Amino acid sequence: MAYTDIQMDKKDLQTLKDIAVKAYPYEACGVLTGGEIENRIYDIVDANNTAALDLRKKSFEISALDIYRLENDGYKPIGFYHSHPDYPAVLSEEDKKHMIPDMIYIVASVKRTYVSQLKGYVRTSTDLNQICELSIQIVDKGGK
Amino acid sequence: MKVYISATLRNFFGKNESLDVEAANIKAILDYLTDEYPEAKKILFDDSENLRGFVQIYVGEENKSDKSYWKEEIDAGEEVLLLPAIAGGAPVESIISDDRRKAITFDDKEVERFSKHLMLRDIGVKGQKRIKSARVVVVGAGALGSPVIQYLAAAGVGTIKVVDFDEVSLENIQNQILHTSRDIHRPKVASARDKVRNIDRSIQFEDVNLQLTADNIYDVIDGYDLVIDCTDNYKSRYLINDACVLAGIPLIFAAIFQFEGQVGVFNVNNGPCLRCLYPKPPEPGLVPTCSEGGSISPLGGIIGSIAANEALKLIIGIGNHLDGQILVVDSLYLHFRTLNVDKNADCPLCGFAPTITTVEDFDYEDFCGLREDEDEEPIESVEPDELARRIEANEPITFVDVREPHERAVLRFPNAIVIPIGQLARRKNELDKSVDTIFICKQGQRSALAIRTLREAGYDGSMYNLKGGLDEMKGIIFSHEGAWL
Repeated sequence: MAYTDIQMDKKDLQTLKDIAVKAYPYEACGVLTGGEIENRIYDIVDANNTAALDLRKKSFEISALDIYRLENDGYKPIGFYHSHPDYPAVLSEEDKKHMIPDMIYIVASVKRTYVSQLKGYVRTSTDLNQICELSIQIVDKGGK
Repeated sequence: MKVYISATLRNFFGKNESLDVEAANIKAILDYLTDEYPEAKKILFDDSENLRGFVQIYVGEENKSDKSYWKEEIDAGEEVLLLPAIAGGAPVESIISDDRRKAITFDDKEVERFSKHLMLRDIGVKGQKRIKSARVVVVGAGALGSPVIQYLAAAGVGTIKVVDFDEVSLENIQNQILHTSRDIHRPKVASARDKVRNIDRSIQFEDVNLQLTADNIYDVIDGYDLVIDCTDNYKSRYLINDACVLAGIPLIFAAIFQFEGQVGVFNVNNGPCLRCLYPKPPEPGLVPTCSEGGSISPLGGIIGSIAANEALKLIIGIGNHLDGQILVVDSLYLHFRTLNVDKNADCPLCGFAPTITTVEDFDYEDFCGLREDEDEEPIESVEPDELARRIEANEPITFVDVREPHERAVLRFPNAIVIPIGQLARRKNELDKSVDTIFICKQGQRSALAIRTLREAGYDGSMYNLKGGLDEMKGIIFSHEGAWL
């Protein structure tokens, strides 16, 4: 199965970066919500990192019930994002273990004042051991 | 009963938001779902029939993902939620690449030798291969270097380089367990080599018997995966830190003093460096090194063992590291504290606008204050053999000893007035201006400071500094014992 590129507009990209920098040195995390167009991000919803405070520099967790409430509010999650403070935007074993097939995952590598790298990934539902990188396209706002 | 399916998992269940399932417990619900949607089975469960890491099952507000809940009866009015588990973490990665690990093989003897590592799930064959392919530099074969070198060798680190310019002396035996009484006057790297050979002859061991300088440090650490700083002075620590940051090599920092030790990990994953913590070393001569301040015997073993453990964890890529942290150990009262070291954006070395870009251009003598300030009036000094000659000739001299009490206990300097630096200005009247006054300390730094202090206090008698301190006097042999006493 071929996957389409991730599409997001400039404002959402900026929101994502701001959230990652604000959370530094802790990991930021949140939900990417979509609509009709495949892999087109409609909104970025910041989520609480519920991992224990002493682990938050190196890990994140989003409460499943928060996702449930978000869906009840009418959002359609199409993926998730999180940041890696002072670490490249590559997936860890822990990240991979929690990837839902066909959902998109964006990882931001964040330094103290800026985001240095942004990468998108997907775990294929045809072969659960396969994880592909998706490129991220910045599109005009009108495209939603 | 109603089963809610999260939008994130809905595609595998016919895009249904919720299903009505006739079942009394979670097990029955899951059986129904996998019967109805066979494709969903491999999504929900892995090959060992365990629930996938990204799936969670809630009953109402309670997480019932664990298998032990699956046979519990559920009230028909409850809603069962099939939700995603959203979690992850920055990778703990080995500093040794997978390619290098894969190139390693073990023979039967090695499998036996390292069996206690191989049986640990977090190390195993993969971890042991990383250890074998690792190349580590240990700077300093003293109190800290002793356990570090021996544990790295015992653990199977494939390539070990030990750098030390010093020779073993009797006072080293108290806490430098690499060396024995038979090694006295031998280079420290020689006893390190013997020890490593005795542990495992297959280790690639390189001994470097020289003092690290800005000119040679790159050559020493080039091509290595990790540097462990087991030195006892600030000049070396800053030199090693700067070179490691500029060469992109992770650094384990270890230090001991009296009853206290510190260990930390720098320059890993864009983390902080020593200069983020201390941009500059302390004022010269004011902080004694371990050799001047002393330390309790096992302290080097405690701190060095932790440093070796950190090294192995970095090599294998497991656990939490002291990355961005300093562990401070007080062995006297058994306090272990971890201090966080944040990366400093203004760090002159690893910050956003670094001012230090090459280790060669950097004047460590100047930075550490080891060079005399040219603007200041120079201090007249006396060479050790010149002093010996004057003592033998019975010239009238006033000696002022500014060392600490414990230093004087170790090496007495007869016929000296003892005045701590802090009391000099107040007690300047005890000095006789008609004779030369010679200031002494261990290495000639604090005595120079003493002369400056007295000058500032307005003392105008003739003052001399014993160049190199009492350490330099050790080699002097008097023609008759009485001259010295």
